[in-house]
Amino acid sequence: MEDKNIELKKQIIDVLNLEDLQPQDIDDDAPLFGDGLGLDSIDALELIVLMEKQYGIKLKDPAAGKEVLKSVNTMAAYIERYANEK
Amino acid sequence: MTVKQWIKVTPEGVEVSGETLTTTAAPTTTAAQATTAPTMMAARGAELLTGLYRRYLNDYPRFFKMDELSKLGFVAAELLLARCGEDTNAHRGVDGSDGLDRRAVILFGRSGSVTTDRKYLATIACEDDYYPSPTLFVYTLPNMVAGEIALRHGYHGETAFYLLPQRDDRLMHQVIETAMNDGQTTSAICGWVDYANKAQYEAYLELIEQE
Repeated sequence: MEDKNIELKKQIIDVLNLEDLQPQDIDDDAPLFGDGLGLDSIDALELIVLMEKQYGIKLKDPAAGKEVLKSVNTMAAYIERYANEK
Repeated sequence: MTVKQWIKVTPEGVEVSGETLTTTAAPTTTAAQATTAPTMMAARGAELLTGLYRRYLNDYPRFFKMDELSKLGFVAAELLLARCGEDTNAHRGVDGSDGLDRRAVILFGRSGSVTTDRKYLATIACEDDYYPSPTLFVYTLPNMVAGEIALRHGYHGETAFYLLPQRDDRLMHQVIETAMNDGQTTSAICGWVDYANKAQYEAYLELIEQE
């Protein structure tokens, strides 16, 4: 999980142009939106695109999507669960 | 109208009201900056804008989300305002008593958002790899650069970006003068902001005030 989290963080940094951040700067459980990383609604859309493009996961339910995109850990767990269910 | 200060930013460097601004890198303070410091030294061209941000601003992470046109206009405006001794919105408060909320941002350019337009087009060009990018899409309108400047400083005056076939100072002056005579605008950041590619860009901005 740890290596996958690092890879996920690199992808997040890349697609969101978080140039000043390295993977080690992002806490696995820190909120991605609001007080944590401070991402906004456009970033959320970009992360939804990331989930589909990189992992084939389509987040269609906004309420469920909000929970999935809460933190790096919730995203990673959802990716892991989807891969296991395949 | 009175021109308070002006700034010119091109790949060759920066000039503020006649003074050349240094574009060499500032001392690094983070690991991320240290790894990229060598490319910031004597920064030119594409590296210049990020180099200027890191040296003179470095307090607005949203900068890295902007497209190149917005980075150009934003950095030019920030350096211009700093020369005028004006702080960011975070420092001056937002009650409007200083009249700065009635400042307009009126910009002109030729290339518009074409650099970002091309990048966005690449994300939807292939049917088998069709992934429209939201972060690119929001910058496929050149007036976003005016919006970014206004957002940073809490300006609620007119924000506009006019596309012209070439720079026309006389026409630009007419448009700016009309905007300044609306009975509400107290000052304006205005001028030419054009980003064709990483080797061809120019921002010439003035801060003008009502006499």
